Amino acid sequence: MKFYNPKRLVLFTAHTVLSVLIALLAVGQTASVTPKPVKEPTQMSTVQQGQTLADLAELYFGDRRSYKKFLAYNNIADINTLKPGDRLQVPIGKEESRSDRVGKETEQQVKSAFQEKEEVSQQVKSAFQEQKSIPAQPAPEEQIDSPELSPPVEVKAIDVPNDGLNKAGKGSIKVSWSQPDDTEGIIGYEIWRQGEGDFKKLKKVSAKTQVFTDKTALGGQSYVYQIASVGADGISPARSESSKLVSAKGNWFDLDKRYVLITLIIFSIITLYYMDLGMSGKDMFIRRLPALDRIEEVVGRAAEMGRPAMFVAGNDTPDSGSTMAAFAVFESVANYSVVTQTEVVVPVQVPLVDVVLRSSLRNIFTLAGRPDLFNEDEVSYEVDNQPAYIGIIGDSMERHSPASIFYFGDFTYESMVYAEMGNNIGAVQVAGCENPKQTAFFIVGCDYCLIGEELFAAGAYLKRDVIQMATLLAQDRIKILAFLVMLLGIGIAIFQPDSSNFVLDLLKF
Amino acid sequence: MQVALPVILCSLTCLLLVVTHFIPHEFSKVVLAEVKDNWYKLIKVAGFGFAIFSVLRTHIRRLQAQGTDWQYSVVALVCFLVFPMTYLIDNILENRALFVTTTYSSSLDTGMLSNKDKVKIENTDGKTYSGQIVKLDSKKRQISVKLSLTGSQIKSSGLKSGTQSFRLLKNDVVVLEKEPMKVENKNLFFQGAGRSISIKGDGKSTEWVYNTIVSPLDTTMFALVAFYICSAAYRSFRVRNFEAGVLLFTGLVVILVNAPLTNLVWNGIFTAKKTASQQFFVQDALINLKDWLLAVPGGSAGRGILIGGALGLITQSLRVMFGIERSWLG
Repeated sequence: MKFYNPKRLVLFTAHTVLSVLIALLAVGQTASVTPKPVKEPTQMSTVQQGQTLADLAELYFGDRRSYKKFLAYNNIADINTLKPGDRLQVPIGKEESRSDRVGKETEQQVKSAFQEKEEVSQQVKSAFQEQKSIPAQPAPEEQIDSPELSPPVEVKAIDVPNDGLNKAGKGSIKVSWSQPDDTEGIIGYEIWRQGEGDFKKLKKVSAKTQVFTDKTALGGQSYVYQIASVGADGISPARSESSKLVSAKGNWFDLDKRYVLITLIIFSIITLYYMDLGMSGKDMFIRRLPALDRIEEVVGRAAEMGRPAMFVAGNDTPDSGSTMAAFAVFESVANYSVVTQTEVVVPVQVPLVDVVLRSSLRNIFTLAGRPDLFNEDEVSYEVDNQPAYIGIIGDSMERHSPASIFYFGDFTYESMVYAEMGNNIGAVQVAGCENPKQTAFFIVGCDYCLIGEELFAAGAYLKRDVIQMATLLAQDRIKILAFLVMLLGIGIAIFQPDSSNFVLDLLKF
Repeated sequence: MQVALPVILCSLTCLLLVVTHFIPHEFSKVVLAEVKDNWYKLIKVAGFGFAIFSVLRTHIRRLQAQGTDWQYSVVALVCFLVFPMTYLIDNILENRALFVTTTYSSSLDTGMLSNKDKVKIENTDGKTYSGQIVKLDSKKRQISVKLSLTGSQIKSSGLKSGTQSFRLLKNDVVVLEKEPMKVENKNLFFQGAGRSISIKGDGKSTEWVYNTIVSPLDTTMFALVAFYICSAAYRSFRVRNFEAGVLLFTGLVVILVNAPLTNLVWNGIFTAKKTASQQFFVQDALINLKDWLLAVPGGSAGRGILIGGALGLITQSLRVMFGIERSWLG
């Protein structure tokens, strides 16, 4: 396989240079935290030793999980590398007033504590002077102040779009509301629901929450919702007006998947168009795939050496794409082996794969007019357990000493083991795998390796069937189209980052 | 017809599954559940049937032929029989239940009791056991309760076969005052209790076989990967040309950074620097280089393969759906 390609080298170099420039630009920023220009009033806060962003979020926003809010006010290269002495821009406003309030309250508490301490020490002094006992400090009575709470406004309830009812016949209803103008004293909200009968409380949420999804709504049942403000005393006297009647129902089309559907339709149209061209007799030229061109040669090598060939069809079930591609390659390998009268050893890990490959081999011998040469034992189901199967493959390699080995399908860590074991017995190895990590292992260990879509193209390529070749041509055109769409998306993302448009939505699906 | 029928069935099923992907309605869940839970399982079970037959045939033939290493076939066949036997033994031992039976007087109002009711029985010490009514015979005036105790719980419960005094409660209301009741320890497996049998894979003998034989062998095989990676790395990292040189350099950086010793030595040489750029280029240089190699060139190549693979998969699926790709038929 030839790795060197001038065009690819230019692209790789350009990419590398660009990446280095971007990395340098990032390094050029000496300070790890810089304030962002914002409209609202802000102040600077210095990070203390041992302080984390979560600590600061609790201080300024009242919630440790709100640390990402700092990103709206600061350019932070890496939130994990915040150092003592870094200066953060923090908002002055609702949140700040809270921290101020907390600060003031704390200050008041400290002051009164000092006053109390002063009084006690005075009493101790006078007690010593007067030889009297110290009067016990009366415990201050807890005063719960329950201010009048305002109820939330604009309560809306809608059936969650693009979903269906679950097995229990329950669906989702999304309830949203707005905070009242006066949020003083509100520590949370309660969601109340009325279906059949009286209103029932569903859940209590924090004061910052303004959306709740009720996933327990019975399909077809109409509901109304009310939201209640909850004060510090846990009492919720202030309930909002009811939402409009709403019921949960299953939807017949998932709008979130519309772009997938559009893409699928476009792909299908292009594929069908090229299939039509292929059937009309037009020449279907597709690029050469060296690894597949070598298959005949590799099987031939086994025939010349008088040793068998081996085919390993991965560890996945027949419904996976890579296993299905492996079936197609196996057909060609088996065809060549029948022509050259070479034995093919096929130890299988998955029962259904065993059934398909055995049947395939039998049909190939029958079609070749030599059903008598078909040996049932050439394809053998071994074991479903992966480590045990690896041992069996090693044993088969030692026992049969195949001159050529084919690995097609889905593989995990065993790819490296197979490739090395095959190399140790001096076999020529051809591999094809969908998983990029295992592909890397196969590239290292095998003589020929199919990368990415080449695996899925293998069957069509090897059969040289005009219609299947046409689908490969369509696949190449689709790839060009996808590449152009991606370029367009990159352009839009760079030059109009805030825009929302079809291309970006399509790329995000 | 032999080819056309499966192809038509496959195309229709593909189409159905594609359509259900876009329909969130509960109807599509029913269809998917039908295909996945019933059709697919049925095919899978049939596949296992063929596989068992294939394994047995292969090893018996090897035994008959008495070829090289035929002894391993004996081991394989013994394992083939022993492992299912452990499941069988576990299930026979585990599928036991305690049945408590009593005869009630004609004055008892049985209107509040019915079959499958959840009830409790309480012994003279006040200890209660949950159970379910499995038989309510009004003619013989007999109630039979199956206690919710599994094989190992039966021993620890302290209940033994024989007649003891219990009272029967439903919803914590006493239905039957203290009566002599007959306790029987029955084996459901041989009694043909059918639906009462629960198949368990974690019985003692199964667990023993797994922990002492299967698991160590699996781990040994997995550990071998380390050696194979070493030998593959040795072959791959030989500098034969420019590309191999780049590969060697990249591999070396990644290996060095991932080794704890390198960080120790590096941090010992280059202690904390003053500025961020000094830290980036000197102290964290190796780590940054490794991250960049993995994220930029490695990540780009990986994404390229993934995108290409996804497109290839779509086209292959279309070929299967349109009925042009038929390799899966065998």
